[in-house]
Formats: sequence, structure tokens, C-alpha cells
Amino acid sequence: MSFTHPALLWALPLALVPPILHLLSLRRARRELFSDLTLLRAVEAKARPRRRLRSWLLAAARALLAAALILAWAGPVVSTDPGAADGEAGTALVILLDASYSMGYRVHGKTRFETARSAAERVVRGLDPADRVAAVVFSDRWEAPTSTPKWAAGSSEALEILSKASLSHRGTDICAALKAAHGLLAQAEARRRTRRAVLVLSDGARHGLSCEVPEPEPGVKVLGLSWADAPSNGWVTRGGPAAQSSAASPILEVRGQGTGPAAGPTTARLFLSGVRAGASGTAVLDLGRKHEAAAVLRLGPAIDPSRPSWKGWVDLTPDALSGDDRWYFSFRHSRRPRALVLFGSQDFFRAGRGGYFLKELLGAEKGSLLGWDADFLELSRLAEALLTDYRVVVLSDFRDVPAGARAGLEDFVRSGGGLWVLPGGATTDEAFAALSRLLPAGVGPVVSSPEPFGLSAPGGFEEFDLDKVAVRRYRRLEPKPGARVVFRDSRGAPVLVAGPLGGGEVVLWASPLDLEATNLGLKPAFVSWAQRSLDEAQGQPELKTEVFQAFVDAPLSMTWKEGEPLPSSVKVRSPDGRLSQLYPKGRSVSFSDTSVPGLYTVAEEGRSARERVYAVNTDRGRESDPRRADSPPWSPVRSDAFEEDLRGALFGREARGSFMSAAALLLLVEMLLAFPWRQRTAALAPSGEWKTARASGDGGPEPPADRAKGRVPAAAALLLVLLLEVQALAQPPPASGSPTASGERPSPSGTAAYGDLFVWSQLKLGPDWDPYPEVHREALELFGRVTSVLVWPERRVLSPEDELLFESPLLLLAGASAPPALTEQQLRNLRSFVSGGGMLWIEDVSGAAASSFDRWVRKAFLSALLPEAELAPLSSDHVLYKTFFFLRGPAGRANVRPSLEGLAWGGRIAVLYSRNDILGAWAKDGLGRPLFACAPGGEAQRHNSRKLTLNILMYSLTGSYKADAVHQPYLLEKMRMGIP
Amino acid sequence: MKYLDPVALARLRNLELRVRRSMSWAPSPGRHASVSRGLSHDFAQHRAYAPGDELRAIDWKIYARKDRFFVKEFNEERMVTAHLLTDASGSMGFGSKWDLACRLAMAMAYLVAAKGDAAGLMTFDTEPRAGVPARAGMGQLAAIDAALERSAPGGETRLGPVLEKAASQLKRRSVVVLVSDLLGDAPAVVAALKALKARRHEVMVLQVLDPRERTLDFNGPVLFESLEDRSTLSVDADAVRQAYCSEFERCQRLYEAAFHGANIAYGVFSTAVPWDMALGRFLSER
Repeated sequence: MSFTHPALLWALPLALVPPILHLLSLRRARRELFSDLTLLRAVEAKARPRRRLRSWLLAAARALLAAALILAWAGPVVSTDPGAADGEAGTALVILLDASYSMGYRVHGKTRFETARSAAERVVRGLDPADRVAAVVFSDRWEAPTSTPKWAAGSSEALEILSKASLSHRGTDICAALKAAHGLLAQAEARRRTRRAVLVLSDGARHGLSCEVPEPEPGVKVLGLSWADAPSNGWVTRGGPAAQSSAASPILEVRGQGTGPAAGPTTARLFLSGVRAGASGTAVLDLGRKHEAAAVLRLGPAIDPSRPSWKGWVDLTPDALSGDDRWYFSFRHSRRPRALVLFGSQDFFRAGRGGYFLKELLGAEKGSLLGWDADFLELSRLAEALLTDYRVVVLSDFRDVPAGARAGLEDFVRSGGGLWVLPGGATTDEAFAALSRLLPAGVGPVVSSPEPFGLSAPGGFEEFDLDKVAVRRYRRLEPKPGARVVFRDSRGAPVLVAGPLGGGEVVLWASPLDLEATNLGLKPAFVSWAQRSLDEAQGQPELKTEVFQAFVDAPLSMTWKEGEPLPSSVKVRSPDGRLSQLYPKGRSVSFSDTSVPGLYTVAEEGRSARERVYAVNTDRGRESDPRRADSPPWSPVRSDAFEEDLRGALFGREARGSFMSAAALLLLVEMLLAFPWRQRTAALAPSGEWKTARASGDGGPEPPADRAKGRVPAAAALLLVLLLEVQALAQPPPASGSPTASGERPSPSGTAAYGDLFVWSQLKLGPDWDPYPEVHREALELFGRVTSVLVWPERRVLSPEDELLFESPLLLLAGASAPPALTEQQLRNLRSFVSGGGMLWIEDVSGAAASSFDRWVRKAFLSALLPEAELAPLSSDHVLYKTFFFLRGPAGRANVRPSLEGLAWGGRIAVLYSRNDILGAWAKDGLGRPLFACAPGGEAQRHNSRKLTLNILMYSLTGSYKADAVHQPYLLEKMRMGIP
Repeated sequence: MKYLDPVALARLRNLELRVRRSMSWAPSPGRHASVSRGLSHDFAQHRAYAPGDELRAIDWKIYARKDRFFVKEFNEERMVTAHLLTDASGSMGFGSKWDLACRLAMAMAYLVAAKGDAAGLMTFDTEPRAGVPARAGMGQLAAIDAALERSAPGGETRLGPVLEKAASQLKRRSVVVLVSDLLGDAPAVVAALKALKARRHEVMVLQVLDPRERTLDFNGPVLFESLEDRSTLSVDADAVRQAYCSEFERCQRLYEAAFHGANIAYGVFSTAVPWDMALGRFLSER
């Protein structure tokens, strides 16, 4: 055992003073004459042994009491480490602060990260100059300092690192951090210190310790925070398109997981492009029983059908760890492939002509018989078409192709498009010659035969009788190298040849589709033939579903294929609004600043002007599971008794409390021994004898009144010791070099002072949050006078982040102009308040038909606060009009609206909105006269406004109590009994 | 008179000492009714004449009516003799006990003398000391007062032997009034008083106490010195108070029970209470 103030031990001989005084007092007997000693002598002989024992016990108790007090003041410290008592060489301490996102777990409104950081700052402030400290903020990498951990130059540098640390969205790797800490402590600089310790300020979740934990050197203490609560969490593990999702019926599948005792059913809410989806956008995930659940949410049609993409997020009901309650998604379904049919003349669509069959096949009115949509356009108007919207261009019934059109088609094909050439009967040899660069086969002369040729069946056409297909006239084709012959005639000559060109494909059919040339358009195989031709032309089919998703800190990479138009630059807009411009290098771009989860919009600048949205989420693989490791590799330091445990672990256990307890016990023993029990009983016990004596004429002496005088100092001393003990236990005085030297204690919340009193809570929001600063006093005075509610006479002014929000059932928000936008945290706080049973009374004090405050309330505030509920007028028979006073309608300084409005939640009015300036009717000037006239009802209206105020206050306390009429039987019974 | 001043006389004006009829046996006529028949104005009964009765006792009016002889009898009224035994031991010198005892003794003597009865005084400690023979008449009061004034408390007490000796000196039944603090050997005192009572004396015990004797109202360590034998005892008054008080009260209860059983009038007189009030209550309750 060591002592913080060993010099005080010199006062130990003072412990002998009480027994000496005690013995001296025994010898200081005064002489008194007495009538007869016979009785007294007999009594004394009987009581002497016990009296002597008591005397010695009393002396011993007093001596021990004095010794215990002196030892307690000397600051005893019990340490298991023999070297720890001598702290002359200081302490080498490595503080590892976990900044992984699981540290965002919120307990009593404070994240574990904030708690851990404030604890670390207290530790650093309490260090001596001789101590060395290294503050390291880590996740699954070094957050601060970003390079290898090193010793801080001083406490101020460590404090700066800690103060700048912020919660990341990354995972945890405690083992790497411990390894680095052990490395630091193995340095000679640390070895010179008497104490070497690592303080791990982490949540100790098992996911961070699933690695091989390094062993510390002998003499190095590893301490770690231990949290008292049993954590529970629910999170989204995945959100993306369901397997059956398509562009026509998009479905989002959400999977969730939960752990811990508090995990249960939670609600998943869908937000599309930042807007809350309708009724179909809500689903319940029961994470309670199986700890895993999935749900599907229907997304509705895409905003742009030509680009069927969806982006947004899914929110679970917020819980303690809110960082993983949201999942961002962004995906795109492939649209139906679209073809552009170019034709030479309108005759093409006459019955029997090829265009007629194509239109029947791909026609717009009846719908396509294929998986393709098609547009029809005259070849001469090709310049009007945006070819990038089409997968395949069908060049049909052309006489010749202009040079510009040829170039455009070539570009289209080379950039990945498909071209299907269906020659017409009037197509000239010159036209084929001009197109020869594009075509996969050389085109020969027309072959006509009175005996039509059939088609030979390639794979996939076995069920068709292709022999019945008659081709009477066609051009001879000579496939180029690399070209594929898809169809041949019955003699083996190629009639459908496909071949690549640049990034695309070109398909050439040898015959016109007119009935004069072939009856293919009349045969069932025509549909499959056309489908096969289009598939050949489109080459590599487009992916059905494309998911744009990444994890935090993973780079977003975009690559453009050869032939694809390369943008000049790419602009990336981060979720926090930052805009970054990137320039492609080697047909690719990489954006690495994805440290924040959210939707990242990537917009291409230049010819393509495409835009993609990437959903970046935190990796939920392990970090969301907050369950603690069974045996973390450190000695636990309780989070709710941090200083005490840390001091005990580092410097030894403070034993002052034990000594003070012993002193209190000894004082109690001393008081019991010294308490004049016998005097008291002598005065009280013989009551019957006093009676006898008085009955016979002897009134007897009254019991001595001043006997208790001697007890007062003892009681005061006990009180003093108890106070000192409480102080010693609650706030131990700082030991030299102890981290508690500047320890801060949280200030009391102050709510205890209010007790059960009703407190007028008012929100400080916006520039004119307090239009009538004195109104609450009069209203509360009247409220307390006419009702039995006990009220606190002053109001409590709160900000939306304030935890005290939840201490009062009613919260007033007044204003005349729109306040600044609320943060997410503020909204969440207010939402918790109103959905958790509180009532928000919003008062528009502008008294005008339209005000910016009103617009803000309706459009910005309430839609964000409770988007599920709608503001609705309260009917005149609403219980609020009869909660205390019976009223027939609303009142206030003005008459802007004929009714109050309310936002119902859980069968009650959670948000009450008044536009009539009820508070203005209370306002008075310095002389006590009403500040405003009430229009149009005058003083009667003012009177009703006061009544309505009290009704609102009472409604916030009692809800629909009046409507429930549970009190009616009591009142009727009371009336029957004639009680006034 | 020192112990019977005009103020005391005025306080005693309304008090009266009554004795039982059986006590009025003294041969001298007095004011107290007696069970014996004799000459007085107190008619007792008519009785049939028997040979030997005095002729003057025949009620001739009844003979005239009934033609038979009846004798008229009266209750005889006789005088009472009271002996005042006053404790003059050293313990009576504690506080104002001696003064109270003297005043009580003088008051009782006055009440006896006021009825024309005879009163005598005897003071004692271990042995009878001063004495005034019992005589009737107010002049006796001065003699008793003078005897008390001459006496002073001192010495030890042996109440038992003294009472036995006093009892042996009383030839006829009389009223014995003991004024003492009764401190000492309680069983011996009770036995002696019962012996007196057995001799058909009417015994009254007036116990004189100081409040501190009952409560031991001393604080802390005290060296007590006895007023009787000058011996000392060092005690912590606070420590022994409870035991002392309970023991003292046990003695008191012993006296009370014993005197009640023996039909001995018993009263406790505290120096803290006016003596005339306590005496009036005692006389009215006995």
C-alpha cells in the first residue's frame, strides 16, 4: 500500500489523543455528598465489569477512528504492481481510439465514440509532464495519424489528434492497432518508464477481434473499455433488384439482420430519388426471431422509360447504431431492344411488300411479336434519328444509300450498333457496291428460278418446316472472311450472312421480303427468322440488369469500350454536395474519394452526356454486429466508472473509500457505546413509578432535558464523516500523476429539480422564436390556479438537439418567419419526441393569411417530421375543445383559420398547428394592458384564447381522457351523494 | 415555632387526621368515636333490659309505649395517642429532607393536637434520641417543635431495631407516624413496621425523598460521599444511572406492596413539592 500524501502519516500519533482524553476524563471525578450509598454501592458492584469493558472499547474505537481518518486523508492506494508505487519515471501510454462505424452505437443519446474520445481526452489531460503518450485513431486502417503510429510530442499534440478524430465508415482491426501499440511500447523511450500500458477505447465487438491478437511484452498492461449495456442492432445487409425484377415490374429486395435482445420487428421505408415512396414503399422486417428477414418493395415505373433506372435508399427504423440502418441502391434494367427500320418509299408497306410483313411483326399498333420495339423512318430522314437509342438499324427496301447515311450507319455499327440489310426489289448494284465496306459478304447478281428454293434449317429451327419456305429470287452472296452464314438455301448457297464491323455486327439477307421474291413473310418461321436476324445483328446482348454499387472507400471505376464515345471529362457529385471533375486516362476514370456512404452521381461531359448514379454503402459484413467478444484481450475498464477503474489498473486501487467506511463504522460504534442509553431509559422506564410518586404527592423530577447535548457533536462528526465518505467515493481527490487530476464530472441534468411539475418547454428555432417572452408566466399561473396541475413557474428553452426535450410532454414552437432548415439529427430528435408521446404545439404568430413560417411548416417541416401523417383540421367536437373548458371552436388574437389543425399519430394529436396566434391574446404591455386587440370577437375572443391555451396544456397531459369519459361515473356518484 | 409558623397553620386549617374507631381506646374521653358503649351524645342502639343494667339507662318513653324495659346505649368517644417517630440519621441531611421531615412531623402533631388527642415525638438514628412524651393539648406542640429544633441529622440509621424498641415501649394501641427516608435495609424496615402493625397500632409512613435520590441526577464521574458514615464511592453516574434507578424503584415498589398488604398508610414526600399539598393528598387518600 502506498499513500498519495505520505506526510500526513506523521499525524498518526494523534490517534492516541482520544483514548488519553478518555482516560483523563475518567479521573476527573467531582465530589458530591449523597444521602446513602448502600444502594449505589450494590449497583456499582454489579455494573463495574461491563462498564470497564465498554470504557476500553470506547477508547479503542476513538483511537481507531482517528487513525482511520488520518490514513484516509493520506490517500491510501492499494496496488498489485510492486513497482507501481514509485512513479518517478512516469507512464508510457498508448491510447487506441476505435473510429470504426460500430462505435457510432448510441447509448443515452451519446455515441460510444464520443464517450471513448472524451474519456481519452480526460486521460491525456491528467498525465504528468514525465509521461509519454501516443494517441492513435484507428479503424481497419490508421485514421489519425495516417502514417505509422508514433509518440506524441506532448499532451497537446495527442489532444489535437483526439479532438480532430471523427467516426469513420470503415471496419475494425484491433489486432493491427494492438501490434503497433506493442511496437511503440517496446521502444527504448517507453522502456524507461515505470509503467507501460495500452488503453483500447473500442466497443470490443467480436468482429474486431476475430484475428490473432498479439501478446504484449511482460510489464505492459493492456486495458480496454468495457460497456455495461447489452447491445442490440438491426441493419440492412443488402438492397438491390430482386431476381424477378424487370424494367416493366421493378422490385427491390431488402435483406436485414438483427442481433441482441432488443432486436425485433422493424419497418423498412423506401425513398426513391430522395422522396419517400407511397404505401407500397413500406415493409416490415421481423429481425426478432430468426435474426434475419427479407422483404420486397415495389418501385414503380422509371422516371425515364428509355433509361429504366432506379436509385434511392431504404431506411430501417432508427436504432442505437443508425449508421447501418440505411442502404443505398442504384441499378438499371435493360430496356427492350429497339430497332430502327429505314425504308426507301411508302410503297414498302403495301400488302405483299416486305414492309407490310415487318410492320406486322414489329408494328406499333398491335405491339411487337418479338422482344423488340421498332421505329419506322424513311431513309431520307435518317439525319433526324438519334441512332444511339437503337440497338439495330434495319436498312430495307432501298434503292441506293446516300453517302452521309452510309457514314452515319458505319459509325453506328462501329460503335457497337447492329445493321440488318434487307434489300428491296429495286436495290441497285451500285447501292450494294457503295455499301460493300459495311456488308459481311460480297453481293452478286440476282438469281431467279421458276422453282423456288427452300431454306436449310440451322440450329433452333427444327420445329419449322423450312422446306415450305420458297425463295424465288435472291442475290448471290459471297461471305467475306470472318463472316458467318446463318441461313442457306436448300442448295447450300448462303442467303443470310452476318459479320462484325468495328464494335457491331452487320447482317445481310439476300432476298427482298416481297411476296414476289419469297413467301417467308407468310410462314410461321418468319417470326423466329426475324428474331434470329435481329439477335445476330445486335451481337453481344445488353446486360439485363446493371447494379451500380460500391462500398465505402472503394474507388468508383468507369471504363469505355473501344468505339464508345469517350467523354471529355466526368463530373462526380458526392452525397455531401462536393463536385469533382475527372479526366479519362486510357478510356477509364477512377474516383476514390468515397469515404461517405450515399449516392454518387457521375455525369459524362461531352457527346454522350450520360449520367450514372453509384450507391456507396458501408460494408455490413461484420461491423454491424455489436455483440461483444467473450474474452477480450485486455483488463476491463468500466465505461461508467472509467476514472476509478483506470486509476486502479494503472496506479493501484484507491482505498480512501474503504478507510472512510471504516471510520464511519467506528464512529457508529463509538456513538453506540457512548450513547446515553441508560439515562434515557432511566428517565422513561419508570413511568409507572413516577405515577405512583405523583399520586402520593411526590411530583418527581422531570427527566433531565439537557442529556442529549453530548450527542450533538457526535452526530455532527458522523455527518462530517459520511459527507467526506460520499465525497471520497463519488469524486476521489486526484492522485499525483493520476489521470483524474483534471477529471470532469458530468453536470446533473437538472431535471430532478422539476420533479413532477409541468414545465413549459419552448423550442428555440428561427429568428423570432420568442415573440411573447412573458406570456408563459401568466399562462402557467392561471393553469396552476384553475387546475390541480402543479406547474414550474418558469419556462425551459430548448434546442432541437437537446435531450431535455423528452422531459416535458409539450413543446411549443412559435414563429412568424421561416427558420433555417433542420439537420437530420434535429429532425430525428423531434420525430422521436412526437412519435414517442410528446405533443408539439406550433403557433404561427404572424396573424397573416400567408406567411413564410406557414409555408415552412407545411412544405418543409411537417413533411419531413412525420411524412406518414397529414395535417388535417380538427373538428369542432374534438376532445381538445373540452379537455378542461368547453369551447365551441378555435380562438386567438386573429381569426386566420376557422379551425385548428393537427397531425394525428397513434390516436392522438402529436402536432398541433394554430395560425390564429393564441399566444398573442395573452400578451400585455408594461402597464398590464393587452398588447393587441382580438379581432373580430374582442374580449370574448381573448377570453376563449386563454381557455384554449389551458385546454392545449391539459390535452398534452391527459390526451383523450375527457372523451374516454372514465371519470363520468365518479362525477355522477359525487353528484348523487350531494357533494358540492 | 420554627416548623409551625402562621403560614403553615393556615395551610393546615382544612386538613384533618382521621383514625379508625378501633384506635380510640384510650381511657380518657376524647373526640374520636369508639366501639365501646359509654357516655356520649352518639346514640348507638336500644337493647332489652337485662338484670344488672343501670336503671338510669332505661328508656322510660319506650316502656310507656310498650310496657317493657329497654336500655338506651351510646357510642363512647375516646382520645387517640399519636407517636411521631422522626428519622434524624445522616441521610436526612441530604438536601432539604430534614426540614421537610420536621415540618411534616409538626403538621401531624398539630393535626393530632387539634382534635384534643395526645401527641408525642421521638427522633432516632441508630438509637432513639430526643423524645417528647405524648400529651394532649396545644402546649405540647411547642415542646415538640423545640425538640425538633434541637435535633440535627447525623449518624447512621438502623431503622429496624429502633422501631422494635419503640414498639416495645408503646403499652396501648396508638397511632404511630414514621417520618423517614427509609433508605437502608428495606426488608428490616418492612418487618419492623409490620410488627408494629401486628400490635394493632395504626401506622403511617411518611417517606421523605430528595429528587436526586430517585434519579441520580449527576453527570459523569462522581465521587460520592455518604452523609451517614462518610464513606466514599467513585462511580460514573451516567453509567450506573439506569441500574440505580431501577433498583431504587424496585425498593419503592417493595415498600408500596408491603405497606399496602399490611394496611399501613404510606406516602412519598418530595422536597421538590410543597409539603402541605402532598400532605393534604396523603390524608385524603388514606
